[in-house]
Amino acid sequence: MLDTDLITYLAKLSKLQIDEADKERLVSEMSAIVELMDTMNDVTFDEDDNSKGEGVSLVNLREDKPRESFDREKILANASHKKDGFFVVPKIME
Amino acid sequence: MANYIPVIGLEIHAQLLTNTKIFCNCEVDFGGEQNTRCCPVCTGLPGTLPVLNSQVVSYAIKGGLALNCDINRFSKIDRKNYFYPDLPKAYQISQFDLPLCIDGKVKIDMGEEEKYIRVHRIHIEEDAGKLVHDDIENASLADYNRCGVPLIEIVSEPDMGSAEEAKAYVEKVAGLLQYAGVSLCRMEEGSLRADVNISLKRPEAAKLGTKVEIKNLNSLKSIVRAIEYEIERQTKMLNAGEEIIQETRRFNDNRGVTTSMRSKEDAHDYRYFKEPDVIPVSITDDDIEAIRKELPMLIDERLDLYTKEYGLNKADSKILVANKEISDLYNESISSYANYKAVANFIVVDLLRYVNEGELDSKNIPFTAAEFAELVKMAEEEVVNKNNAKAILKMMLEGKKSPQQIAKDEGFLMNDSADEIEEVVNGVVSEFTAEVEGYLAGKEKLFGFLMGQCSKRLAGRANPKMIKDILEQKLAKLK
Ligand SMILES: [Zn+2]
Repeated sequence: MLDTDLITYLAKLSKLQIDEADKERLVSEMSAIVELMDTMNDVTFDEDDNSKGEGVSLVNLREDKPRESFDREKILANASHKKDGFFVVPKIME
Repeated sequence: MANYIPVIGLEIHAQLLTNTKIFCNCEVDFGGEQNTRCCPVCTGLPGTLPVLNSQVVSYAIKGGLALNCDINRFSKIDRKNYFYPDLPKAYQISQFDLPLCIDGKVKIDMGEEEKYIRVHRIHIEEDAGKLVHDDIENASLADYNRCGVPLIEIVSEPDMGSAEEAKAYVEKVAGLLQYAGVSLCRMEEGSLRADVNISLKRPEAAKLGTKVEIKNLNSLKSIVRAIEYEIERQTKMLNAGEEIIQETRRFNDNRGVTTSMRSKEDAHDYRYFKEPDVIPVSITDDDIEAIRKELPMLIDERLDLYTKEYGLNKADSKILVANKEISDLYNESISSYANYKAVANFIVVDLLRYVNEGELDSKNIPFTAAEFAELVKMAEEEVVNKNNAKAILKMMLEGKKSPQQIAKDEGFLMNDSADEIEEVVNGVVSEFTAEVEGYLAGKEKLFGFLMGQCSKRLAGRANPKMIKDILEQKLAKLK
């Protein structure tokens, strides 16, 4: 079940800063969310689609035929930061 | 100082040789201007849907068969979540619990000893983009051309015990994928990279030690150096009573050391889940058999054939199979001239010299196997002498075709007319009277001199044995 340790870990993975004082509250709020999600388990499926069942057959997959890529200006059009045809992204310090 | 046994496992990422990316129709090509092979799908724009490339699945299965894997008849695609700026979707589409291939094995040859390395699984996934570090403060530049380039990840069991075994394994896997024609496996172009897992254990210990992962090694040399460094580092730590921390490290090629990658500390929690945008794949027995039929004879079978059936030595056999095009040339050549050893020898000694020196690309040999076999036959049957055979090979590499025609045009054909040889011998004997007298008086060394004079005048175009016989007869008559 959820506890403050798990909240601390999830916060770290999500790069979120959470005050100690808020953690207890988050445990109860998130427990309620997880509980709600658990109602999904009550739904029964005819087939367990995780391990068997019908997938797409090889012939129905996409053919390996190239098409023109997008114009670079178009691809970069939605980027908030760009330079010399590159996307500008945050630097990751190792 | 205690002794430890290294326990090494490898994850090899190989780029599949498809025309297009794994989930979109953007062309896959090495190089190219930044962000010119991109579309809304591979840059992860909202509202787009990935569509799986059939060739990716076929090639992954083919590679798996070459590595003796079983193929899952039902294979699922999953989402691997991690946040890094080289990955525009903030997740990578990969496979988690139902990969395409499982339970393979690869034979490696360590001198006298043969060993099998087990392959745990092979799955398909998309590559990430490339980050270029710029002088802008706190920013990097992202090129997403490689986003969506199809990869297979080949995960071995921890069956290797040394850097040499790891190297042999990588070379063998690369060779098999090249034979299968599913990957170029060029480490220098990034079409093959490896992550290494390594731990140390005491010989008597049943449990494995804590393992460390070294990410993103892109040359055989750095794989070997990183493993050797890591064995040394962990040995020192264990001997000093320190604990090994489970972590991801990177290898610094310049300094020859591994360092911790703190940013990836928690990255193992990928929160995989079934990729809702890509439907699982069903593979039939017929699919697998059809793909298996496309596989050529592979490395181990060819080695067996060469050593056991053709009587070649192991060293030459290994040289021949190291390159599929060369091995194919050999196989085709001996089908028109079945002198197994002579053909092998001509390839190993003469032809491969050009390949090794970078003057010949084995993928673009400018003559046919039949023409090559003809040349070997001409040299073997002394239609031309050995030196001239080499000269003919050089001209064939320059684009001239028939070795017969070249020999004729260049005047390389051996002169087997006894009359002409006799004429030359007579000329030499009457010219070098002093040497002839000396020889007849018992200075046998002078025979070599007279022989040399005859060969010179015949310009290497006469069978040396014939010259020798005729000269001997002539001198015997003078005695
Ligand atoms: Zn694309």
